[in-house]
Amino acid sequence: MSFVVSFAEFTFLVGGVVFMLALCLAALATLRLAIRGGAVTSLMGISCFTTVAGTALYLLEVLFHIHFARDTAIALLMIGAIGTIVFARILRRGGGE
Amino acid sequence: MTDLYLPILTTIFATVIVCFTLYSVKRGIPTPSPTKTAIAVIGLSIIGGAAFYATGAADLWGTVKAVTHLVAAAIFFAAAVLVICASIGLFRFGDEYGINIFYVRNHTTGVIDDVCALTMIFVGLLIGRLDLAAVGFFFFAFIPFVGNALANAYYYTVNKKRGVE
Repeated sequence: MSFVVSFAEFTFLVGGVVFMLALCLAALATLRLAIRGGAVTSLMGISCFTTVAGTALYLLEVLFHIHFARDTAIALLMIGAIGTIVFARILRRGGGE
Repeated sequence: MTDLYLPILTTIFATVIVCFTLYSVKRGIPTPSPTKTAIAVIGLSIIGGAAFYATGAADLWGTVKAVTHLVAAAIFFAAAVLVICASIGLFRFGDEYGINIFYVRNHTTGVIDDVCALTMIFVGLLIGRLDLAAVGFFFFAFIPFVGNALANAYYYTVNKKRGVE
């Protein structure tokens, strides 16, 4: 394997890991939002957390070939988005904060 | 010997991408425009790939794979900068800014959602993982509805009850 190909694969791996670390920081920020806010703010924090966690899990499968992470990621991304919309409608009717 | 140069070259590559993205964030607009950046990236990829293929160090498939992985790595580094900036924003904007700070936070979480979805789409297309791109695209279509539903719920539960428009 030539040097450029190994450089590209190594850089791709490092970039993915750096992006996953950034997602960990974003997960901390969204968890803080979910813990300290009211009902709608907490829902927003949890919604963003599912996005961040789903993306990180999918990248885990892409970078390290951990296959079960992909199913969890798809479930988190899809159910997280749809569940946020449903709960936001419920909170709007019931009065959340 | 080549293993020694790999981390150094990767660090230089990451530094260039991060500085470019941070400069764009500081200016508040993409530098240069996204259209020009896309054309420049595609042009540089073709020229670099052709030069690498001409050396005969790898076959055509290896060249394409190397170029697409490098562009995907650049997208990862740029996305990491944007996610970190949005996270710092989420940490900084506390409740002391009033009840309408919710909309700022909603926008900031939307930035994180958009960055995650666009990264999945473009990286999936570049490395040939169409399932990753499909999931990213499906999620990208849901983001406006999520943000709108949250803002709508907050408006009708907080703003309207307190008489704040």
